[in-house]
Amino acid sequence: MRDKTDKLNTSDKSDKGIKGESGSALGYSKGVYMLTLTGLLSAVALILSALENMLPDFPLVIPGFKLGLSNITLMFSLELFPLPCSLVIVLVKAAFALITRGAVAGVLSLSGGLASTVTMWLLIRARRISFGCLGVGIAGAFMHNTGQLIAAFAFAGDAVKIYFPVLSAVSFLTGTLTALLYYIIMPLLRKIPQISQRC
Amino acid sequence: MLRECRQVCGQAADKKRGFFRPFDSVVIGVVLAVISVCVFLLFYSDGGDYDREGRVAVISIYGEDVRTVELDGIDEPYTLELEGDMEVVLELSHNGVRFVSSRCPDKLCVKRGLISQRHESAVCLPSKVSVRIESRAGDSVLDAVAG
Repeated sequence: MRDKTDKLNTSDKSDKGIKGESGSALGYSKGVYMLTLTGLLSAVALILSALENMLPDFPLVIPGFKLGLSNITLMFSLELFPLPCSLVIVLVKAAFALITRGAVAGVLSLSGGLASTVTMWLLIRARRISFGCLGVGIAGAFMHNTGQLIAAFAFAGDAVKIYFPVLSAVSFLTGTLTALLYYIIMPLLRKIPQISQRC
Repeated sequence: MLRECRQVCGQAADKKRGFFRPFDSVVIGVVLAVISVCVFLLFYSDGGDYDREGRVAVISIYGEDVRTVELDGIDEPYTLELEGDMEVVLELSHNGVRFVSSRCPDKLCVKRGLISQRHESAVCLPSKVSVRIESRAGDSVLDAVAG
């Protein structure tokens, strides 16, 4: 990973002739850029999940069910940056859940996050066929549920299985919602020069 | 800059991702198929016998069934204290089962409320205690305290 960025930096310098050590027109190296954006996106992911924790529970759905708004952050980072960046965001989220809500919440966050991130990464990076926001969003939400339920099954056994169909059906709706939000937000974020100049 | 990003990400990042592409329907189809298979396995594999009589509450800790209670045989509601990773209190009655209190941080199990129908369940993940309602007709040992 680091080697790759270094190489990119040098090639950058050679064909653009940019100021001093830095590899970009913005004046800092690719590593610093990635580090900063990963930190920023992690913060955004945390804020989004804190925000959805404040929303009242849906009366219809099983308590503890969330919208999964922070999946928007993951979709965004998967689209523009390499996979490790998104994995770091997942880890930060899981660490935050571990600190604030206990070990079980941390493990659930991690398992769900990893499952959905890897799935969305595969769909976003698929070369031959291209998926739209809707497919990525639904697959991400569904795999987040599935990953969490597998971890929960390991903790509590049979009683958890019954949640699966209900949660999966609802993840359809939440996946569509996050996909829609992502579709709306993405073009706006691209207008920010720090993001669009790089990618 | 875009060329750079193409090198990093391996694809054109300037291309806007559409909301819907034909292959999305494959994703949706696969998810729907998985859901329907699971619904079938979970709810209809026992013959789909849905009368209200003969419900039993199966209580489990750490995924192991520790107690089976026949709900229709309960005259007076009573509470049951259980110790998983944390202490929880269950209330069992003719109507069903609910978590009355729990020492867990988020109290999701208490918010779940009363469960009364077959195939319903309530779980307290932090304490690893769960209850589910099953039909009596089955191979489960009745009124037995196992494990």
